[in-house]
Amino acid sequence: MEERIIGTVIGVTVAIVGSAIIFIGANKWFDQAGKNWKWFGAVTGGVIGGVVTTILLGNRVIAWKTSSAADATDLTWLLVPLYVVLAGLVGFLLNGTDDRTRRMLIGGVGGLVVAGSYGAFVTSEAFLAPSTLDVIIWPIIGAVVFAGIKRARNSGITTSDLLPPAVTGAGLGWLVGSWGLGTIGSGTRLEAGLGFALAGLALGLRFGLTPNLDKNQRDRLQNRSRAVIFLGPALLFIVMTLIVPTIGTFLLSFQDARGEKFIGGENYGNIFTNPQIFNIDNIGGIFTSRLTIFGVLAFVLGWFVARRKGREVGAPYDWTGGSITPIAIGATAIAFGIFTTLRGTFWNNVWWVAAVTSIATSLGLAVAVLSDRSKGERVAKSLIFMPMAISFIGAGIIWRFMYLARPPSVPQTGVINTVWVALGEATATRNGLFWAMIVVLGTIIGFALFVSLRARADDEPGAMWMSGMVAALFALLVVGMFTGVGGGSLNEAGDFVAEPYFFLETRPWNNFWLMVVLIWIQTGFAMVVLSAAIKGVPTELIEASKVDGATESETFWRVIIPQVSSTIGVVTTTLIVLVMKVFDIPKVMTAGQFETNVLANEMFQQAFTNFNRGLGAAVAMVLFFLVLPVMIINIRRDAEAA
Amino acid sequence: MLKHTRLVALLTALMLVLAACSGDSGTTETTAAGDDTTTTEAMTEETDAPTETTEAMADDTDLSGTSVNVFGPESAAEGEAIQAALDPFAAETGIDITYVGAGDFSDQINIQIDGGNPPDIAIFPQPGKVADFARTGDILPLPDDVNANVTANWPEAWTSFGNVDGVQVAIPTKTDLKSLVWYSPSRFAEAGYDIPETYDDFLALVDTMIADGRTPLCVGIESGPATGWPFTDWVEDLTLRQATPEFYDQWVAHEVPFNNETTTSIFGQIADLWNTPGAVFAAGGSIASTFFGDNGTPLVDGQCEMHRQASFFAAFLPEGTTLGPEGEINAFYFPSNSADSKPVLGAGTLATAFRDAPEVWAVMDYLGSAEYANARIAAQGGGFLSAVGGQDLGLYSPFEAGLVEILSSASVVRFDASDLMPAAVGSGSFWTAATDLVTGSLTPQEATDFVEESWPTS
Repeated sequence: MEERIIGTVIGVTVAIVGSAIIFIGANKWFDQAGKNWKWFGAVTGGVIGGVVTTILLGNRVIAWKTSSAADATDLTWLLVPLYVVLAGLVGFLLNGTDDRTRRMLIGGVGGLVVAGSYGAFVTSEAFLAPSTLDVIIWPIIGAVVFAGIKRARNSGITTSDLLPPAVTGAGLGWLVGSWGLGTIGSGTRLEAGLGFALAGLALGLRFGLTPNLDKNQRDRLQNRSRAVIFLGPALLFIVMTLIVPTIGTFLLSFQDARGEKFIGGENYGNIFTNPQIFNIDNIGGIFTSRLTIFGVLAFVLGWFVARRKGREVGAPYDWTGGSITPIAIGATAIAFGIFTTLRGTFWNNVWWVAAVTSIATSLGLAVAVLSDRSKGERVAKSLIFMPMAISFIGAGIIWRFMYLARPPSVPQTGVINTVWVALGEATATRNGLFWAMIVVLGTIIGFALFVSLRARADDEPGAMWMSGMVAALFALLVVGMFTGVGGGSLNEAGDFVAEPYFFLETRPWNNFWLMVVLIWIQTGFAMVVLSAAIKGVPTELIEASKVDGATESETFWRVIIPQVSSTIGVVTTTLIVLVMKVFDIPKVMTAGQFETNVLANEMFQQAFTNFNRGLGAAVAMVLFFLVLPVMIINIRRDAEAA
Repeated sequence: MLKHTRLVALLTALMLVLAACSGDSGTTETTAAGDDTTTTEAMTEETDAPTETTEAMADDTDLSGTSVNVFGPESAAEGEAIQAALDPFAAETGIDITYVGAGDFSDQINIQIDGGNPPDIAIFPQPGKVADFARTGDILPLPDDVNANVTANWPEAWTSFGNVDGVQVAIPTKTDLKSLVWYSPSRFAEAGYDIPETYDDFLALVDTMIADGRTPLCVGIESGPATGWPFTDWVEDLTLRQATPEFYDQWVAHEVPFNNETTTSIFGQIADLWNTPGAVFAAGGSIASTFFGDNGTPLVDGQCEMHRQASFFAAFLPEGTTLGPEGEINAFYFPSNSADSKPVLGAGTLATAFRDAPEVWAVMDYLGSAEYANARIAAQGGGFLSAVGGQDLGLYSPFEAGLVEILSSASVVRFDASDLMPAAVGSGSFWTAATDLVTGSLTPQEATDFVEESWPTS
């Protein structure tokens, strides 16, 4: 254990010190471009030589031993410094002259000799046997393609301008033809040496062909390099931790369970043909669903109101509370009607996104508006914000206790079912509790009505509506208590039998009960952000609208909402991304059983429980593609704002 | 100009890649060097004492200063008992043995092996997984001396679960007896009920109890992420009783389709039994939401008369419940079709090694020994059973000694099928099918069809 810790510490230290040296070194290197052009050439040459040699060493293509005997001295470590010096020398000489012929000579011969000398160190495993045809055809193809690209991109250039890209192309073509397509491991040292030498020749010629940069260009090179030096490490980090794994997952999603062989799009096919994930068999049910019918009615009503009021104010449609509220409720009802018929993990996820995002945002907005500048604002907002401090796992466990249902013959211990069954018993038996509740509820209704009327008189529509709704809600409950509400009924013998509601087992609504948990958490977030935005609406605007005779409601819909619409957009997109990845809550509360699975949990189960890595990766990619458009919108908005 | 900038960018990127790589290889080399030393040591030691048994090796060779980590599914009290049972051996040999238990072992071990850092020893509750990882070469076969001890100590019925393609790769460390029905002897005597001898007697007894106004069964299948598993135990026990052990093996290996007539019929029988009005304490659709461990209290309180559950259920009875024929709660063998055949459904844990080193094999050998069983019985004080030969039966309570007797004498022992099937079925669709059947959203035929469709093709 200690050894490993020390090893790790050494490794980390080496990496940090190494990075620092490279960072400082890179700065110094490009300092030379402006100050000392020759030395810039030397360092650039040295870096190219060092990098190429290190790569070759890393792949065990070259080695340096004094003899083939087992006890021979290993001089391999000398190779990197050797080639740094050699290539550095070529670079130094190359930048030391402005004469085109001499530059070509230095570059070409230097490249040929330095690269060719790799042949002396090539290990027998890396001997090369290229085919003659390949090494002739590929450089030609490379030269033509590169010159062609140059030609196509820049119009009106001379033939001599096409030479540098042609040489680059020929060099790359040579590499493809010799090292890329040749047989490595057979053949001779000479052929391997030639494989290096001609590539080196092309590289050297390429540098030799272009003239030295003038003073202005050198300074610009030095300045521009700074951006790369500073951004490089961060970009590299993102590439290694984000881009590479994404590509890896993408490739894995086309592979089999163990990630060993490619099976094409089978995993994706499996996702969308699996009735557990993607099931649209009952889609016809939406036409008979009471929810959809109600939704359509509400929608039509909203539309009608919008048209009617629109005429009054002289616009085609009027989008205020009177029309938007029924339309929003109708749309939600239609959506829920559809989601209860579309079953499977995929649709569960879509349902989550639609329900949590819309409900949490609307509730957050409602609380932010209604509490704005009222007396209990701080307390109310603190209380609603508090669930944000609870982790998803913790919230899941809390709500499991809220939803807990026990066998009917024992007392209920889950919070909601305790109340529900007690309510059922009270209404079924009309016991003392029943009359006590009627009295209490009556008092609450009376008080709420009183507050509502007072608020109306004081012109505080927020408080008026809130307490009005509370009164209506409790009035409904009183009606329900007389007509029968709650979990339980009397059996034939006249005994009360409890009927707890199985929140987590009754499908498809168990999905919604899980969503409630996330809504409970995220409403606070939406509220805080929107409340800040509302407070940021200039008071002059609000006062001006009041002076113009707008009611509170009109001010809200026509002044405040347009002002905070971009914030609503931010809240919505943030929530969509967050909800899309929801994992902890279903994992803790149902583990995806009872048709409540979501994509993130499906991915985890496939990849880590079932060990089907290909399918797990495919689910991850589906999730990724679903989130992608939202991310693009977010980024675009950021770019616009900047 | 642009071109030069690009070149610069490329070179800088290359340099940074190199920097990252060299940093990495520095670490790797250091660790690799450490590993090399260990391997060399291991090799020397093995050549030093090639003919001696591991136990002798443990005594002779100095293993002090070495360390072995053990990873298993048992945590909390059971995990502490394992560590307590390992400590004496650690003190004796000087090996630093650490046990780590995790509730989500099954997921974690996949990730650890996949990530290339498996524990030295993993204790699997699923022989199916042992076979998977043995075939990929991650789990090492037992050396001859360790194997010889295991074969000598354990009944063949139990070692066979750790035998993959003829090679012994795992050592049984714990054995659970699943074919048990818990009941209250005093209430049975009072009502004049007899212990059922056959499954038909059992069903008749259920009917009698209903007629007497009692609730015969406690059933609850809620178990967090594993909700549904108690149902699978019922299916397995009935399969062993209504079909042959050979059929059971074929069913597990998917040589017969999952949705065969027998299995579908058994699904139906269980659903019918549980849905019989008055038969189950958790009525009104609450079976799927009743935690399996919550069946202990009603059983003791007389709210139900019988509960079919494995031997570890003792741990879920209210504290202070006395066990045995004279105690508050006793258990009888879940009856078979005839009184003569007594197939046993078992479960348990299997120890496997991932690192080839003398100290690892020494610990492995100890885990399969009677000494380990004795130490663990003493440390755990109930809820642990072992079928290992040579253990001190006196350490068990008389009740548990009776269970051990059933375990070690059974001729037909079969491991819990859901632990043998591929994870996609055994810890996935089989459970889901169970909950969907119990909550009434699938018919028995639909449920078995669903499991059949989910069986991995490769």
